[in-house]
Amino acid sequence: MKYLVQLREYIFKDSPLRRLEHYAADMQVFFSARTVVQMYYFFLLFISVALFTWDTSFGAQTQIETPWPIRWFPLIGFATAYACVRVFFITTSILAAWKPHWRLARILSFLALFEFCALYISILQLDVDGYGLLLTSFLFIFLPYGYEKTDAPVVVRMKFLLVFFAVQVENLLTYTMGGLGKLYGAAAQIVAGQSNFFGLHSAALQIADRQLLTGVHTALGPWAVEHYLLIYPWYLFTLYLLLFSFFVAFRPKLHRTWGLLLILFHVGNYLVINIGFVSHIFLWSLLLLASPFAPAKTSVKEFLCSLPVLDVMFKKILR
Amino acid sequence: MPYPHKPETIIKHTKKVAYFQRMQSSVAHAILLRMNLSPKDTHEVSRLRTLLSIFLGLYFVIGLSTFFLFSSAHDKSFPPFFHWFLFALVPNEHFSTQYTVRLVTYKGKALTPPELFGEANDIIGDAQTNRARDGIRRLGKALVAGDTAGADVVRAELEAAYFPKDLSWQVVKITYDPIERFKTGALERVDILGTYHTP
Repeated sequence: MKYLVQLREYIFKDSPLRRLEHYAADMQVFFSARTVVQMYYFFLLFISVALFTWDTSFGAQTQIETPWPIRWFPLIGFATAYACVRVFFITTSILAAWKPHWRLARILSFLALFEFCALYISILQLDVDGYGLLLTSFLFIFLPYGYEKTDAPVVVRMKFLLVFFAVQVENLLTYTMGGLGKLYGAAAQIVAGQSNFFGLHSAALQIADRQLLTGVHTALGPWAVEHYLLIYPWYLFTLYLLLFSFFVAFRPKLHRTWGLLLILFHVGNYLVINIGFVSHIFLWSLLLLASPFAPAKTSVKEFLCSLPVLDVMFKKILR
Repeated sequence: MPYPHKPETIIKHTKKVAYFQRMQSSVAHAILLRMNLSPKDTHEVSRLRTLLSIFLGLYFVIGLSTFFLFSSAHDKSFPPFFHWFLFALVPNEHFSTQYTVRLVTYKGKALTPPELFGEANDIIGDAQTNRARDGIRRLGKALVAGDTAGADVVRAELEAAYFPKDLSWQVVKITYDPIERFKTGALERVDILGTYHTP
């Protein structure tokens, strides 16, 4: 029990939750969080137009791949249903960008994004880039009434910041789940005596195989396969980056730098294996680089002494 | 004239004043605001916090369980829940396998050597899409499992979406070392699962 209390204190000691009143009292924090929400809905409007294509030649695939949110497609025909989802997504995105404080606008925007994501993972791209947006839109539904007013009462500001913080936690949690997946995969492959995440060649194997599968020779892919030892430290570091992302939500001093590292992680993946996760790059720009909870300045020492797990070592070294 | 307070009381009072002076104005403001929060307000914030915590916990548990509950790699998602186990497994150094399509003849002419689907940009218009790869993977799995009906459906779908007319092609399972294949194109083994002709 004593250790659980200590662990809880270790994880949550700098948590924004413990100083929510403090943040709610600071109008700059509140206004900056509110701007981020507004920017988020501008971004949805952008992707509602940019990521869709009118090409419906892949309709045959919907006969087999039908995630539950788009199982209604055959009822009115694929082409019509597709057009409906597209128009619905654009319309609700315009509405949410115009009046993000209307809960109905946020609910409709979430439903449209939900349909779009179901299409995106099954028909359009087969990738889960939109899931981060989906979770964000879902949680933003819970933003309180009246937050748009300049003189919003403190309880409204607290609830607003609480929801905003939950969005940060949720998105970071998905990266921790990704890190757990890598650990699980590594353990399974070590037990089976196969190539695994910790092997010296593992980065080269992943990069080469991905390029073979996609048939795309990326900007840095061939170089990375040749110089796998040079990228090996970063490759191992990404496991740490993913695994401990969840805990970073509770350490505002890390928000901005961690956001930058996650963006570098995605940009690196794009240059090496052609996986962009563009919406996540934008999300981290909003949620962490522009985190309203992050202090104006964080020194290198403060950053190092806030790193999950490694802080124990750095505190001793930099004492 | 006697001093009205004991020296210890004065020191204590001075310390309190100094403490509040040291505090940032926003913190002092925050304390005041907290004092002004009604029990109803506190309850509302607390209720929202519980609701959000429950959602995060459920997302974590249900998300991870999708990985173990759904067998097919493509179906390991139950929108909006997802396990996020991306690139969890490292390709095997010598025995990586992939289902693919090998193009044998086109418009009556033999392709020497036969071209793999993902590399045949001159014949296939959209050879690098995830959708095409996923379709071929499903076709290969259906053939290995002996599911002829399922294989026919996927084959028709692939032919309609990607394959030009007058093309002979094979569904193959290739075995390779990813690094070696990437550098030299060498395959260790090719198993033919089916041969077809798109008229």
